[in-house]
Order: sequence, then C-alpha cells, then structure tokens
Amino acid sequence: MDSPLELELRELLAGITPLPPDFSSDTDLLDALALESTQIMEFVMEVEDRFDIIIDQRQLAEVRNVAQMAVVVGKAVA
Amino acid sequence: MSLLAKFAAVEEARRGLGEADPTRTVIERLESPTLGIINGAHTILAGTNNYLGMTFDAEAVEAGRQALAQAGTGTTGSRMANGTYAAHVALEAELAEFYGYPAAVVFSTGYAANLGALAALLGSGDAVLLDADAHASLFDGCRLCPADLYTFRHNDPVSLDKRLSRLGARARNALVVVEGLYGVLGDRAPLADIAAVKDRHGACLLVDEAHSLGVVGAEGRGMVEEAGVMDQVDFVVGTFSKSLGTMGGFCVSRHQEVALFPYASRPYMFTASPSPATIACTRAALRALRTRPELKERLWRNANRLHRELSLLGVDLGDAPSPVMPVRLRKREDAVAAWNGLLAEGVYVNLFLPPAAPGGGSLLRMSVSAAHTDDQLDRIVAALAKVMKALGALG
Ligand SMILES: Cc1ncc(COP(=O)(O)O)c(C=O)c1O
Repeated sequence: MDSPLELELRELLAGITPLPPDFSSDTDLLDALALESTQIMEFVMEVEDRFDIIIDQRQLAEVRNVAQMAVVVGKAVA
Repeated sequence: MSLLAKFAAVEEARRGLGEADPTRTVIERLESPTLGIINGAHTILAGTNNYLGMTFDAEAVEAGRQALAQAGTGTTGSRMANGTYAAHVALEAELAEFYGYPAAVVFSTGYAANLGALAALLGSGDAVLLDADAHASLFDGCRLCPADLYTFRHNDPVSLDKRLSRLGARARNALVVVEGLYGVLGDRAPLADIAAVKDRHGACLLVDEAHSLGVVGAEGRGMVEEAGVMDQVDFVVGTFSKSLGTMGGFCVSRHQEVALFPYASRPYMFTASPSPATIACTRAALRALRTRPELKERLWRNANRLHRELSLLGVDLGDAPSPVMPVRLRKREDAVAAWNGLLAEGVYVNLFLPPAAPGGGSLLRMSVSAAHTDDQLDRIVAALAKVMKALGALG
C-alpha cells in the first residue's frame, strides 16, 4: 500500500510527466519512466516547495523511485 | 567488451538525427567571422558566439602573430609552474582594472574558470544554490565540490529566497550561482532582485557573464553593470571564447581573496595555461571592446533588426531582442528539419534537442554578430521565412 506521503509525491510527479496505469512507488523513475535530468530537478523543486524543505542533490544519488524519495522527504520534514 | 556496449545506444541516437548530423558539421574554411564554407557551399554563420565579430580583428590577429614569433607556440605548463608569462599577469591586471576590482585570475577556458572558481569557493559544509537553467559547466563545477547542492527556479528570486530561508544560519555559508544573460534563451537574470535576496541572507553571489561580456552594460562589463550591482556581486566569471573571439576564462572579484583561488583550485593547477598568442589576441580584443563602443552598437542594431523582421514574419522568438535568439519549434522532427533546411539555404544555426534546451522543448539558437552585414541579415530572414513556412511553423 502506498503511504499518504507516497501518494502526494506521486501526484506531484504526475504534474511533470504522464504516469502509466501500472505506476507504483517502486517504478524506476529513470529506467521505466525515462525521466530526463531536468524533469528530476523540476520534481525535486516541486517537492521542496510542497513540503517547505530543501533537498541536497547528493542525497538523491541513490533515489530511483517514489518510495525512496518518500524516505528522503520524511527525514527532511522530521 | 561490455564497457563499450553503451555506445550502441549512442550510435543509434546519432543515426536518428538523419543524414546531415548537426553534431558533425565541419566548417571547411572561413572567409570572415560570419561566412564559412560548409559542405562545399558558402554559408552564413548565424550560430556562433562571435558577438563582436572579433575573430578576424586586424589588431588581434597581428598581436597574436607577434606573440607567436616572440614567445612560441605554447607554454607547455600549468599557471602554477612554468605556464605564467608576463602577458598572463598583465591580462589579469587589465581585467581587474576593467571591472574596478582588486584582482582577477585567468584560467585556460571558460569551463575551467567555472570549475576553478567553484572548486576554490565551495568546501564541505557550504551550500550552493544554482539557477535551474544554468550552464553545464556550472553544474559540473558544483558537483565537483563537497558543498551541498540545491537548485532554484530559473530567474526566480522568490524561489531563491525561500530556499535561503530554509537553510537558516547556513545561508551565510551559501553561494548563489546564476548567469548574466542566459546562453540558450538569451533572457536576463533579474540581478538587482537576486543580489538583494542574497544580501538579506548574508550569502555570496557568483555571476557567469559568458554571454554578456562586451554585449551588455554601458562599458561592456555585462549584466552586473547593466543591473547596477557591481558593488554587490561577489564573483564574476567569464570567457574569452565568445565576445573576445579567443579562448580562456577568468574570475574577477571585489574580494581580494580571489587572488588566492589558484592555491585552492585544481582546474587552475592541473592544466596548461593559454598560449602566448591566445593571451595576446585576448588583450587586443579586450582593448577593442573597451575603446570601440561601435562594436556593441552594431551588435544591438543587428539583433534588434533581426528580432523585428522575424517577429513580423511570425517566427516564435524570445520576448525581448537579444544577440542570443532562440527559435522555438513544436516538435523535435521540425527542429531537425528546420536546421537542415536552413543549412541547405546557406545559413548555419545551432540545434538544441531535449533535454538540452530549458523547458524541455526543441529550438534553433541563432546568434547575432556585430560582423553580420545587412545583406547577410536579409538572407537569414529570407531563409527562415522559406524554411519555417514549409514546416507550417509561422504563427
Ligand atoms: C554560460 C556559459 N558558461 C561557460 C561556458 C564555457 O566557456 P568556454 O567555452 O570558453 O569554455 C559557456 C560556453 O560554452 C557558457 O555558455
């Protein structure tokens, strides 16, 4: 089950690129969605503004999907 | 050989560009700053960064010739070792004097200047806030450093302000990084607002004037001069490879510490210094920039004229006239077709396909030069009219 945070992130992502019907929090943003680096950057800035946080790009090196993004955001808002 | 397997995808993408691959354009010969031979045909160069048309300037060419004869073909070494000649030091003094700042540092390219200045400035625990549309060299420079990297929305002081606020006390250790006039869309950074925001938070500001040196500002000192923030901006970086028509880069600052950058900057240390001829041509070009305001006037006359005539035709250009002139196209295929069509009509421009252009679209970047003749401008307009009409791309 997607957490409320994951659902919110998913909604932000949908504003940047159309999500396929089988999209899940584990879908790989780079391989499966083929997000460009500029779209990732846009996604991060959207997330920062929604949660009033700031995310260091190096923290994102390991982030491949919404579930992992939720972990980063969860830490930042804590 | 799995290491090489990735190149199959590169080769496929390259083939997708069609027979006339823009990345493989060869300029066979040059006739002037704005005319070359491509595929055996005379072609107007409308996709260079030769804003002031300096590449064939008689005084610069003669200065280079003399330096070549007197000081040889290259320095064979780093600025830190055997690669600093009197001319490098003289150019640094001239740049500092031009800006009215205490010191300047010369690097081997504009790319190295960005990497070198950022490497010197950004340590562990520092933060850097980068405009999302900034040039690749600024991103690369930031990634080279141990500082935390954040991006803010392009040309948006509010977006910057929010992020500096979120940093709290760390904002005092933050560097804000922007371009003056942006090199792809030709739009201008709102520097007065950005400088006010960074001052409020006690942060520093670095402006890359690659496309604005000699192009804007009453004395040609770029957007920092135009926006009236020369006493607020902390570091200015620039390149010799565009308006000055040579190669190399610099960082100049109102802070004396810039003179110590070489000691903390691997991109300064571990590469050979610009050749004596390059430095001599650069000094001559900088003199021309300062003493011949007609070059900048001619550039703007040409830019305004091209913008006016193309806008009347219904070409989708940037809002305000600028020597960097983007022509937006709806589809990637249209942009490739337009690029090839223009070349067939004898006009060379730059092609930007996703994700290279900000906003994710496809565009042709035209750049205007002071050296474009009226006849060349007429032919650029006629070629665009024909090609864009054939594509149904006129508004
Ligand atoms: C904004 C910007 N900064 C830096 C550079 C790098 O300059 P250079 O080509 O002289 O290394 C460029 C040009 O490519 C640029 O457009």
